[in-house]
Amino acid sequence: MIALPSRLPRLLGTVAGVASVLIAVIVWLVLLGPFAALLAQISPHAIRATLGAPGALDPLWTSLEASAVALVSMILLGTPLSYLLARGRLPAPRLVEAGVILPLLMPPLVIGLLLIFVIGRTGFPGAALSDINPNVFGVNTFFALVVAEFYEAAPYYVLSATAAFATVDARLETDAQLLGDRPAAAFAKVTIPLAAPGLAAGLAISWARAMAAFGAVLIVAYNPAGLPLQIDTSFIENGLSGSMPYALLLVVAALPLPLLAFLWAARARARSASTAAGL
Amino acid sequence: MTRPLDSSGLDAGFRVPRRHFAIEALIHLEPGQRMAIFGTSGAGKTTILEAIAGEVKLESGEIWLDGLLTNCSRRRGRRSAVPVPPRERGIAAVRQPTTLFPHLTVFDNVTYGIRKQPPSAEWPAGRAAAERTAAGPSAERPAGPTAIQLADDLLDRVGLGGFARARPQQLSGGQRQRVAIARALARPFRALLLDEPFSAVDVPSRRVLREATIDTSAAQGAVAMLVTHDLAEAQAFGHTIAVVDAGRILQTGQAAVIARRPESRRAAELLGYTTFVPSPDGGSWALHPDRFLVGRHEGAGPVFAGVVRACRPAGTRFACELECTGVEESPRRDGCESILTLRIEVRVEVAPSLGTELVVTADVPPNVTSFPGGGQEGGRSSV
Repeated sequence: MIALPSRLPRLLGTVAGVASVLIAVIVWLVLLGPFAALLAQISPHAIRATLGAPGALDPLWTSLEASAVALVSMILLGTPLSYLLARGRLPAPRLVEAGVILPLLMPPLVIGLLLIFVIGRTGFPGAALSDINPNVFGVNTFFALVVAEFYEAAPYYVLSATAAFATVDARLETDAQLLGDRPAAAFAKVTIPLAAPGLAAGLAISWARAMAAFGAVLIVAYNPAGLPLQIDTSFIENGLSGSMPYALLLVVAALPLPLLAFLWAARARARSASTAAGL
Repeated sequence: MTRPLDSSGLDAGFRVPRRHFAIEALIHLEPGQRMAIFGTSGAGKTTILEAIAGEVKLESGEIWLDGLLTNCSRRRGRRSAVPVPPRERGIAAVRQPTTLFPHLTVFDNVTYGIRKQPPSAEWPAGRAAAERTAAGPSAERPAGPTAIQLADDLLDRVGLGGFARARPQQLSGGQRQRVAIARALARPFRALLLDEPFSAVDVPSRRVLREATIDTSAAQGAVAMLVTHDLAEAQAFGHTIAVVDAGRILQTGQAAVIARRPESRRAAELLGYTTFVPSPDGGSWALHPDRFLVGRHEGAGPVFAGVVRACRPAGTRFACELECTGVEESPRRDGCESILTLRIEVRVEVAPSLGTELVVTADVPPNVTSFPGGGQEGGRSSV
């Protein structure tokens, strides 16, 4: 934004420049239009009426907790997988990659239906889990909500993290080990810092996806209701005006973390680019 | 296989498959010995270093460094032999292109390997630093201040005194190589593996850096290997030089004499010999453009008579093309083939003018055995 005034006049000097600026503005408006509408359509009174009711904020806490658990599981399970994929240390890496992309390509509703076979009372390991405690594991539990969010969001993290790890020169890891590091220390001191911008971007996207997961959640975790489901319920029961405050709440709750991560990653990239240019 | 009886120094015998050829090497170095690996690009020089560091898989063979296994082939049913982990190998490496940690400052790069353990007391600068901080007991001295002192000394020695806070991306290619060398020398090592470490460094500084690497490896009794395609650099660094071509060590010899005694035609070509003429015993004389004497010198080597076709100054000499009209002490006493053009460098006062006749003697040319398929015995024609 700071560089804009100096670049703009030069850009507007040509027909192609004018066209590109116009297109950029139009795309920007189209993308941001719904946000503007959300802010324009909502009244403080409606917010107070809807969100002031007792227990009205429960869906928010449910969503935040479930997404946090999903995110932590993603980091714990997805990071090693991404690293091994990026380093080509897995057998049949294309097959593994296809498996990661599959949940991304499937409609979330279908994922939800299929998850019933996995965590439902009749499936595996659902049956075994239900035997342990049907109130903790099984359909329509907090656990089911986490699983549904995980399926919708994890592929984004794994793909971003794989790309991020692939940018780190493997020879740097070897160097760190030759200089006395254990593999884990080299990973923590060299790989993670160098992959951090990409990892942050991946976490940002998957956090947003997990918070907003709806299709799979609708099927396997109608209870406890998270924010997206609450928006749906309010919309059906009270129409647009009743669901808008929850929509705003979801945006406000889900956006800051990924936005910060994105800005940080962009700044980190710009910093390394500017030092590379000798500034 | 069994551990070598003499367990100090480097014992390497291995084979690494590559796309076009397999890289095979048999290397033994005594502690403190330095070897330069000399050859053209793509000959497999870097792979030899990587194999010794334990970074590439061996098809067969194993590599021992001071009694530690750093690499071995992993054949089925042979689980007993496992290389020691990289952190315990004692290998200091400078790669090409250099691999510095881009997220760390120059100082943090240099001290990366010595934060946890005290730096080597063998390193002269380290010893000086230890004397400066002699107040405390030397064995139990804290690593911190000494590591800082050592890094400062090393950076001074490689000519980067003022760059401790800089990031690798802010440095030029030559400066990065200096940092990589300082990083490698900071930590005690058993083997110093240098892959064209001075390629981007200015010529005067090369000597300083080379001496730093030689001093340090000698002080630690470590083996040192330098990969280079510069013969002069190889000679200045190594006790021995290994001439590598297409994955094989063609010849290993003392640095001082190998350039004068190539054993095969290919080795001779790599060592700078440009022309080959048949010798009386059926081999070939390898002729080096630098080693011609003007005039007839009895007992030196074959004498060529020719006409100067081109001449330009080359340093203190003149590089000339001599179209050969006659050769003595050669099976072809009747004269050379018309295509034989000698490229020679002669030390004369005035540039030989074009068209003048010149007699030169090849100074004791090595007699190389021509191997099958060598062909073109009349030498390289200049087209």
